[in-house]
Amino acid sequence: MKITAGACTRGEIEYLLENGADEISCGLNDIPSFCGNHSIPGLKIHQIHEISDEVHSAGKKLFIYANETRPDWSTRIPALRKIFEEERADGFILADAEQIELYDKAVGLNQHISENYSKNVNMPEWHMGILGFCFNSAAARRYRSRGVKRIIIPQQILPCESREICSIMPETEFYYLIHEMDKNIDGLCMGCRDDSSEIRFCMRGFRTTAGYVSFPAFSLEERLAYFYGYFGQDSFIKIVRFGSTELRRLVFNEAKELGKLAGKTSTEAGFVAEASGLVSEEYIPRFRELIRKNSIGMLH
Amino acid sequence: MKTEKAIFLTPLQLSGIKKIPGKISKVYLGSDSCEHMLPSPEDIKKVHDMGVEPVVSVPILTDFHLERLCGLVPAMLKLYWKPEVSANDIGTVIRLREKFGSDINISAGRHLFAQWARNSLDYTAGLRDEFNISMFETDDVYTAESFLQTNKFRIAFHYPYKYYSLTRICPYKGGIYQNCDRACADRYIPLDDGSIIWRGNAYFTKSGAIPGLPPDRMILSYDMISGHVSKGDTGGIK
Repeated sequence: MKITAGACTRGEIEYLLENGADEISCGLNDIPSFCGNHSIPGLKIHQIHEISDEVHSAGKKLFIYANETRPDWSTRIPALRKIFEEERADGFILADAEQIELYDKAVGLNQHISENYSKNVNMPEWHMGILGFCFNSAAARRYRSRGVKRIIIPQQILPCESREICSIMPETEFYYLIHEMDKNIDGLCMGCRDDSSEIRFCMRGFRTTAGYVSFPAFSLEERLAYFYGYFGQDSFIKIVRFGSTELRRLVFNEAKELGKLAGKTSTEAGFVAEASGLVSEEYIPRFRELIRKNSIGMLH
Repeated sequence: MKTEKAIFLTPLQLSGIKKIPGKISKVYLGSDSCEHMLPSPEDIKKVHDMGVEPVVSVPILTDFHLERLCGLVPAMLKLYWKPEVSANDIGTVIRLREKFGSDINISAGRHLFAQWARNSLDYTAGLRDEFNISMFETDDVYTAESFLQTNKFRIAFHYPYKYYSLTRICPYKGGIYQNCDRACADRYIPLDDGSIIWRGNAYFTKSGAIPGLPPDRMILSYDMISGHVSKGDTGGIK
């Protein structure tokens, strides 16, 4: 099992490396990444040398989010070129194939990658984030043909639905689903784009004449079965950047513990039964407490 | 140029309809938010027999549901020339073109076009040409106007509901299923002060705004002709 964990500060990177993260993904202010309206701090471009040295000296990989496609996004190319030329990052997380084409024109990266993947040369990687809408194998084939190495599977595709995608891509990454979150099918929820309130649209209750209703979410058992299914497919586990440092650490540690348990458990039913107890007692109460304490923002 | 009028119907809504109003020339049949609303060959024939051309609308599709769509297209091809499918993800567009070539028309549904429209105009034009996309759907006035101004894209505008959010997790049964008994019964449920409508597994806002430039096609919601909005009960939503 490999965990790719999102980090928002130097301190978090340090913590994640010391506690077993295999890869770090982070945003840089100079390379805007998609965050809806939930602003989460990015790191500064001048920090890239220190971050890169720290991650690489620990024998881990560093990925940079570049998955915002607002009209002015091409202004990030100089920063991206600098990171690439100085070999500071192991890859970039994108949102659309257009980005690959334009980055290719700017730095000649795509052709470089296509030519070298098969030679096992260590080259910067393109990862396609959930805004690439890779919901089926036809989309996966297209992205693969464009030089994408890893697909980040949209949250609401079940493991049994993604087998063909996984068979096409050299690598896949799945979301570690967080309690009562990840309720939207993709990153284009207008609630995250329009709503300036601190409470996420998908976590609100809505009034009807028959009482309050809320966005449907996976049950705990469904969430754990989802984890076990992707764990069995040898996908990377993605921990998103959201909320506060405390929340991110809690979720990281929960995912790590579940990974260990999944490795020791031979059936999905056995895993779900054992993990339900662990999560209900150890993690959900602390998570709810932190949700109340913190305003919630989430990046994809 | 005259704006063509279409109406959006799910198979459930179609079952209660005997006649399509005269000014409607196309029926969007299916759903752009729920994979379980794929129409049957009988649904398509019913619309066709009413003298109106069906456009099959599908949401973002996983492989399983994409193959169900591919299984439906031959029934459309038997009925009429160049049937139209409104697709909402790049994989569906690719698969349809691979399997049916130029025998069908493909339009970019509102989710797919929202994704493409975030990129440059040239890129979207490139995708239009690569996949021979005949129509681009949106529910966003700004997007509609900015693309209409170019005179290079045929735009269909959804009215009056604007997409807000979408889930695959069934609000009625919980979880994600490959088969569905349509427990939602396709209700429209107003939330809070009615500014948000919950329909099946999607949320919409009622924008009421239309583009300043006439779109090539207006796609009207079913309740524009039926007054179908539920007065409040949650109808079993958990």
